[in-house]
Amino acid sequence: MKKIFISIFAILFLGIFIINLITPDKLLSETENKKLQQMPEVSVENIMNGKFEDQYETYVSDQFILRDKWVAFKTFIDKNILLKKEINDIYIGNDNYLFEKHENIENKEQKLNKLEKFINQYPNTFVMIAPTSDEILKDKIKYMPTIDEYALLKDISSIVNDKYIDVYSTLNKNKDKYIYYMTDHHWTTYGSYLAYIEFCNKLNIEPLTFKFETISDNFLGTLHSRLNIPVKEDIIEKANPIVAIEKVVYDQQKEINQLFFDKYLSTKNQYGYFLDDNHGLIEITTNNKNGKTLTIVKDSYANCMISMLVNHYEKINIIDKRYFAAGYEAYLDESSDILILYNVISFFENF
Amino acid sequence: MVFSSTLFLFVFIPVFFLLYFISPSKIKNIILLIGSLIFYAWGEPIYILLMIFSTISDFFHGKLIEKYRGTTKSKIFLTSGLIINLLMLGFFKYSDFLIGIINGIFNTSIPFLNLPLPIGISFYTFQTMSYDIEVYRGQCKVQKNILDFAIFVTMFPQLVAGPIVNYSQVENELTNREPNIDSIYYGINRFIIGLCKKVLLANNIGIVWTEISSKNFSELSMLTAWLGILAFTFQIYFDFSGYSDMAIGLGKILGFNFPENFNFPYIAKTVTDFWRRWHITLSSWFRDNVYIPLGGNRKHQLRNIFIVWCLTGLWHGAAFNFVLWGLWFGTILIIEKKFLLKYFEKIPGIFQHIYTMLIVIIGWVFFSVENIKDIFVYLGKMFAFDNIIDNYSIYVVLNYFIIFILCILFSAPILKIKNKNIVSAINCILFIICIAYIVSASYNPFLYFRF
Repeated sequence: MKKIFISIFAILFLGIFIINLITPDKLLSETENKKLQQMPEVSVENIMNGKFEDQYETYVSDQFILRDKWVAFKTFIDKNILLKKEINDIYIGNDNYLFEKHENIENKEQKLNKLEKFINQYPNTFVMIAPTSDEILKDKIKYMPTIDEYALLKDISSIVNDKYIDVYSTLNKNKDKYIYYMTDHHWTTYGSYLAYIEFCNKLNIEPLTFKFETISDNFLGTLHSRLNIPVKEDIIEKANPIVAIEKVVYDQQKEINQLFFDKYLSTKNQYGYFLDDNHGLIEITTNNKNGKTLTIVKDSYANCMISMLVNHYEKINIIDKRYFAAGYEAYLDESSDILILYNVISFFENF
Repeated sequence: MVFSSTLFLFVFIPVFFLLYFISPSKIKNIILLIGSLIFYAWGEPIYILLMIFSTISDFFHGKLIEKYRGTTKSKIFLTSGLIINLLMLGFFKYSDFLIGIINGIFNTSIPFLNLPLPIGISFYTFQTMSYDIEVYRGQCKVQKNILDFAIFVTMFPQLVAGPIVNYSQVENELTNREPNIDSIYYGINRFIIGLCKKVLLANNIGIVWTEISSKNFSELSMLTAWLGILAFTFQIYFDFSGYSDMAIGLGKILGFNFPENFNFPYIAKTVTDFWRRWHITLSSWFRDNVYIPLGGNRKHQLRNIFIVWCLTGLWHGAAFNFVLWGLWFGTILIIEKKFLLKYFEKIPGIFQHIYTMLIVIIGWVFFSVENIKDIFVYLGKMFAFDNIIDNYSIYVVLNYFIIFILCILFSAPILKIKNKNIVSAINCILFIICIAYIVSASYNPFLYFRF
């Protein structure tokens, strides 16, 4: 019996080693949204300064066979045996909702100063900062430590004054509706529609009504990626623009003339359907020749709202500072309106 | 290299043990030595030279002590052997501590050296020093083969976190060991148990302490303060004893019998008993090589206890809070020896146990918080009845109560399963679960694609 046991273990250790060795290396991980470490360069210098050792260790764990499944298994144990409510920085809330556990905001003063400088330089700037689900839906995660986003929004609004677009109230009023995804950190298209109405009210534009079309009923988003266990799936809707889209240029290179991309619906990152995921610069021209231009400095929260905003402008420039960090001033100079649109956590990280 | 990593478990172990077991006996020690050097150099490409230097130094010191046996030269070489080790340890571990003291007393501003601590230096210097001492006392024979001696110093199982092995304990096994089915079977099981303690218990409960210790202590509720230090209490036990289990297990597979280092310390009924169960090899080392030579309990007992406990504290860390920790226990032990132990027999066991754990847990506050002021703020919060429970403490309970219960259960020898087959089957399952946790530890998805 002892021999059998020893053999089982020998096979386990040796087997996993050999399987890892012979299976081809993967380049990137869809669930982790990152490039996976490849075999590092073997050089005397790298070995002596420890770089080779660190990279090789990362290489072994990044390329470990069935990595996503092991994470799913660990989540399963955490959830069902250890009865944890917080797993891999995700809170498991009531009613099938997952929430992201946020780190404390750093650099708050620095970002607020940056914002103040921006609005002073461009006085036609409107600011819309959205709370995330763990603020609006916090009843579903009682006792879990969360960031006081309401206070952060107050700090922002006190700097921006009359050009601040408050979306907290409308989202809070409608919190029993499906305004945030259960498995993803974004708001739903309907949630962004409520914010769009506030935008219109602030700019004295008549808000349009849209037809919402379901484009996916099996969306498992970024929050699910941290757990990899079966959870209730989300539904993604889109709002079809009412004006005609004449031209859409991505990163000044690709002219594709569409706002929606079906290819993402068969991948993990279905939210990428909106605006081909994340680009540094997108330039949209519509057939609404009213001479007005809107430049949006944003994170991915804006992506599902674009098809609603385009209807009121002849030209829309969309800038994501994570991928287009400098040189976008020309676009700001030529705009009739500027909109800063982030979720509050991402604002303090990425603005 | 860390035992609980995919690199160690699924690259180092398969390659090393395959080569080791297919080699003829004469080559086995060379494989073990090379493997151990690679293991150490992997984390410390430069500091491995220190360890090699220590090996060479004590190898020749042993020979010189033996050569001049009976004369004063022998004692001189013992002294120089010890001093070289202590200087090395002192320089790399305690120089900034000393600089801090000098700056404090003389108002100088000598800059700190900020030397990274060489891994395992507290362990291998103590092992090599014990060799010099045992040769001098005639408790072992001199090792004439430098390769075999190098194995004693560098072998990877206990190099990083103990147990501290005296040369005499493995003297014969260095050149003459016969692992058999029973020892390999025992070794694998022991290793898995250690791995589970570290990965499943210590790492999980450690998250609680990491979070709570990074908060502003003056804002903690009483329950939060207790949960935090309880988490640390379990983390350090399962981490440390888990490592010892893994070391002993690996040793057994290779054919070595390392001494036990932990014996369920948290079931102790007195603090005296606690220290017979915690980091046993360290207390034995200090007892045999400092306490008894200083006179033990025959001459100057209080002074000897004071010195030993200052040193024990300092060994754990180069900062004053560790000295406080050592003195805390030194004081309690003196009180126990002089008065308490006599009365304790009359008290029911459960109260003895509560008393002991209270002392130990308060001790851990000294150990785990480096800033002296913060230590007393934290202790204050543990007994502040004005803020007993808050939302955060409820969150910790909701999230970790199962883990806490498991930690309490496994701190005691509750599992006595006779049937070895069942034990093996359970260990197989636990090992698979460990892999899941180890792989997940490096899994960190980003919200948007990182170039």
